[in-house]
Amino acid sequence: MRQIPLSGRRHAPALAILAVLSLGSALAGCLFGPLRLDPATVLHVVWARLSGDAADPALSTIVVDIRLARSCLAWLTGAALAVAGAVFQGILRNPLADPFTIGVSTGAAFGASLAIAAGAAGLGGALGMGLLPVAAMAGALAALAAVLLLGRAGGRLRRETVVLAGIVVATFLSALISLLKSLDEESLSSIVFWVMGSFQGRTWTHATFLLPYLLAGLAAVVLYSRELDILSLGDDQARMVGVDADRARLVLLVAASLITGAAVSVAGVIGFVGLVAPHLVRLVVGAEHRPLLAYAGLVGGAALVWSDVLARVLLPEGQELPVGVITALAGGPFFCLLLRRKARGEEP
Amino acid sequence: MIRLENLACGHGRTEVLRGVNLSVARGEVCGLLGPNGAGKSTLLKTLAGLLPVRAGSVRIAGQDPAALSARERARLAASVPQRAEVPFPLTCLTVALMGRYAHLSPLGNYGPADREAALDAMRATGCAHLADRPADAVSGGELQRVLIARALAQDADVLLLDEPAASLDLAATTALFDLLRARAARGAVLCAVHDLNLAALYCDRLVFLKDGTVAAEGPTDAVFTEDVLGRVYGVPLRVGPHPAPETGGAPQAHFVPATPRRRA
Repeated sequence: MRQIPLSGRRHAPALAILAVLSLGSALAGCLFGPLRLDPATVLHVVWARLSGDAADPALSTIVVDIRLARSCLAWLTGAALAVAGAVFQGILRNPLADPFTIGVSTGAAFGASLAIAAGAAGLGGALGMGLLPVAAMAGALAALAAVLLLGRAGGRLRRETVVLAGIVVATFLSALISLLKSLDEESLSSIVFWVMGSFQGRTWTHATFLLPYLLAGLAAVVLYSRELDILSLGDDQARMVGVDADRARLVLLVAASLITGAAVSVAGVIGFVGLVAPHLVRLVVGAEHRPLLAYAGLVGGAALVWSDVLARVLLPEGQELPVGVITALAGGPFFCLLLRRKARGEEP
Repeated sequence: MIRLENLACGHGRTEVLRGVNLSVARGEVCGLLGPNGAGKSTLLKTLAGLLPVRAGSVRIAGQDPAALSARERARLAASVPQRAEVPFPLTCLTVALMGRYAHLSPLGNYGPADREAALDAMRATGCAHLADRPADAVSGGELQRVLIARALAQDADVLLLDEPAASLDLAATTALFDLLRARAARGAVLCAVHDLNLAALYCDRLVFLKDGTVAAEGPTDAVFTEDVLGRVYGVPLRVGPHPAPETGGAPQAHFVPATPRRRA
């Protein structure tokens, strides 16, 4: 009989330890870069900035405004993608679902590419970041709407049709992104870089842009986590026990799409975090969504911080890889292992 | 408790049942019988509010389920599905606790009383030992007991069950039907049953569905006859009294094979 190690236990101590490790990762991410720093210096500089003391301004800029900002943004993005992935997996009742499978990430990428190609990215907009994030969020929601409409074509929304509709929409939008790229050579590098995902040059502005969407989406998702448990058994079961399935699913899908859209708009398209983090966590803590969301967020945050560290130290002389390349390279084989393990576990 | 008048229902564009008239009184266990595809599941899903009423009326405890919210409907009638697919490792206790959802305040969480109610229901169906096991890794019969426990925990006066004994062993089956008889005292039970003789032993009233409508309906002793059974199932059947005196000689059906094996 298969057992889930932490299933049904009290989660507070384990979550507290994981939170310390995960948030500590964000701080540890500041150690890496062209300028070697030791932990004492980093802590000292961060503490000095927090307490308002005068410190070496150049060092303070490097540690707090460049590295810590980037590290925190990576953490927030990873947590956001993992939470959104857990929600999509639960609602679609499909452990392979994530912001990509349902086409939401590609929708956000298409919205942003359109803004870049139209030259609108530099125009004034939300929080001085240009129209790019707005276009990405609009793209995410539009892709979700398209997927729901397509998935509903046969009458009721079914999990198989939603995933199929997601693949159709994602493929179609990817083609449109390629079309935009070939039509407009000038913005090519900008689009490519963005579609691969990266935290290069990201600042506190991006983190403060992401945070409110993440918090709002998270609040909705946590409030509906019981409904998420029930919806993971399917619509009929949910209605039998008294859940307004259509409304609960809509709230959860919109919340997860907003989280995804906000994450994609600050970091580009980063794959596999939303797929692997919830999957891995489910093996250890079980599928109850309230603890699952908390664990997945913490694991996803730390995973993306370390992926970003790898992205900026792997190549010599300060060159950077897009972080999406790292997550795909690490996540792909890792996911194969999980699938194999699952396949073995299910055989008697 | 349950009253259907000239009900028509179905899914998508297909009408499965029409002209269904049926009433189940308080305290009764009513068996729903009929060949495969007769519309037993469709009728139960319509009563549970999962499928629309196309014509006619449905009243459960005097109320129209379609006019109620999902939550109110779940407090009125609890359903046990024919089968369920659990795609994730939720514990069996979590699944049973879902029966308490309709009793929570909108933002409330399951409390100790809800856990106790869910565990009580699990003890009643003999699956309390599975509480911490992942529900996607237990056997079909074990999951069925958890789903029945969920419906019991829902604490509704009316129980709607769709072939709940299909994957249960003999001991669990008789325990379940004893439980259903006890539950019927506080409301009513409508249960699709595959096994004719089980229905004849435990149900006060039987409804036979065939070809999209009610073929026969009434008190068990009145409708459980060779004539009705033969007409509904299309095979020759003999009916005789149960040998055990405590059943009061309940009618039992024996089918007559066309090519019986040779006996010495």
